[in-house]
Amino acid sequence: MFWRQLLRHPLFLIGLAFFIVLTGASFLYSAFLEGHTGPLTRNLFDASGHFVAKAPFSPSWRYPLGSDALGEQMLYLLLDGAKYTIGFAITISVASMLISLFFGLVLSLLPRSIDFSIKGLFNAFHFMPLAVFAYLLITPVVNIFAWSYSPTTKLFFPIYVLVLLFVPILVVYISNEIREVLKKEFVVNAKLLGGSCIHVFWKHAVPFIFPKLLAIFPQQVGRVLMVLAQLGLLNVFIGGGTMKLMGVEEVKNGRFMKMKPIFKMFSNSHEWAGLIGKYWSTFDKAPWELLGPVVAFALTIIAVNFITQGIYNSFEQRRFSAKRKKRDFQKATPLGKSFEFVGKGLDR
Amino acid sequence: MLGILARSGMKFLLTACGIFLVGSIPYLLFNMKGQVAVTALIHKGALSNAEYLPDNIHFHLGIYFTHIWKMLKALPDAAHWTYLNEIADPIPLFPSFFHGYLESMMILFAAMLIGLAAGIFITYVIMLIPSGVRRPLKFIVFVFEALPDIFVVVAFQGLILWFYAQTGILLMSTYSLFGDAFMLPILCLSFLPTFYIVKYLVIIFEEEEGRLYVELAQGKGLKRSSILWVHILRNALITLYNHFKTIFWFGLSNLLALSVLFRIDDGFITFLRRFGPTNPKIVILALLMVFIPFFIFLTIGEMVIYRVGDPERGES
Repeated sequence: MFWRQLLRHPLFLIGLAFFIVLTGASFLYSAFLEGHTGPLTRNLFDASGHFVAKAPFSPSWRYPLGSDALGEQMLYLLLDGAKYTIGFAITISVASMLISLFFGLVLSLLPRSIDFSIKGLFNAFHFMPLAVFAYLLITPVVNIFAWSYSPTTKLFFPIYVLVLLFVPILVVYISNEIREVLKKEFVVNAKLLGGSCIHVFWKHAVPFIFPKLLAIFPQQVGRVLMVLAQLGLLNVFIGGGTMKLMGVEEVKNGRFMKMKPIFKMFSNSHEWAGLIGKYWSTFDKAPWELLGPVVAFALTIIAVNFITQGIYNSFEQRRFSAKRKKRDFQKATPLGKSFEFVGKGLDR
Repeated sequence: MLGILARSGMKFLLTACGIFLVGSIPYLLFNMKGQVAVTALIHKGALSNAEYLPDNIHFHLGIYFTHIWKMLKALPDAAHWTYLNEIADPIPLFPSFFHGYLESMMILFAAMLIGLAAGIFITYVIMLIPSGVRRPLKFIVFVFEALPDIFVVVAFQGLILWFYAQTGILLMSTYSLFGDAFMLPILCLSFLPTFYIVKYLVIIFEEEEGRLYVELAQGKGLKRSSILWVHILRNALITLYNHFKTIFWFGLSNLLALSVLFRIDDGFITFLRRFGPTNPKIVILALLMVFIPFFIFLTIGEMVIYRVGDPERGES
């Protein structure tokens, strides 16, 4: 019932189709187009050989989403980056979901007082954006104390940080959801009727918990994408970056003027957060450079939200149809007491 | 009432503990003292190559807990704290840090107020429309609410640039929050909270519409607008109050994107970004400075809801 509803839900299908098309196009690009797009040009000439424009080119027929200062097509960069961005987001989400699932389950079975204390401790994460926490932990390794850590550490440490950073939020969320289901009348009744703990959990609680977890997953992907975008703005990239010398500035050092090099981090891949980090400073000169990755992020996050909403709605519809049956039944019995269903927990 | 206070007190202590634990994590993972010293040498130019000082990530549990203990002891003296700049010169934290904090919080607060007012108004308009036509509007709200904050800020900046190109009037000079036009960042910041509030208020309103007291009010012949404004709104705000924490979090993370993209140099998040990684104690202080007023506000709200009645809905 739930699956049938879900596979017919327009929002869910649109969201899923977006993902499949985007990732497919991204892989097709690397398989066939990459390296065959011809040499880059930094100057454009019209048919009669007159100079028209210098890179970055604004969007036109030849450059649908414009180009960057090297004359690279934004469209190709975005297509190439899609698989990395979506791949990172999904990998990080799966990892943090698995860890949180385990701890969330444990937490929901522990006594109330422990639950209360752990939630209180985790509350600390609510007073600063997650991206700031991630930034504070990742920059020392990849940027500030960059000399001391090996390239492998620099590559994997940011991923670990992001995975673990989402765990506290997810654990609280998952344990709340499980607790709510375990409190439901039918679960309590099944226990009273003599069902063993494991039986009740699998047969009665899991069918209710599963769709909720299914809806938490795309939400989590969206959250990761959001943090990735913000980290890109802060010049922190998942998948590693390279420091490049941008120029020198003069600094006063005691009595002498000294040349101090300015370094900037660039992402190693064309992953969207990296593109944001690369282009945000030239927004006033070539807005399309930044708009490309930002709109790509926005569309992906909206697609993720469509998927989430589709899952919620299909689940709700199942509940509503069950509700309607009971209501009809209630009408049929003349002395039926009116009662209200207390199960509006989904939207919270 | 006492129960609420005791519970809040416990929560306060736990979250404060959490803040110290989280804020000291750099000491757990990195050899902070040595690293900061080397960074200072590099910035001063005394050391040009530090490649021969490799390190790895270990758990320094001992240093971690001593640092937490030191922070706890130093906290009463926070007004005289200093931070180390790039070349490890100690600089007094106050008043510059407090100034940035105050600006950021005022902007955030103003943005939330505007968001709340606009949110209530838009919800009211949506609820006046017959329910059949409501669906496309609700869909638009749903899409707007889902937009990432970066997109909103970039779009806003794009609009300012476009306006400048068209008319030659620069709506906002960047680099400072309280410049000539501080209304613009506030408006930009209030965009997402507005739609978040609308999304949830519409759900809550529609839920309330089916309740008995609304039916009674309709039966008595009250006008729909007055039922919405007076009766439903009151109850809906209590339920919305439970979402307050999330809305606040939204605003904060929006502030991050805003302060980077508008190049706001005196904001509180910018300060954290520049000096936070090498001075974890600023992070602890900042977290406490955000948490404590927020907590007081939340507790007062909880008590008010308890007084007003219907404690069932007031529980968070």
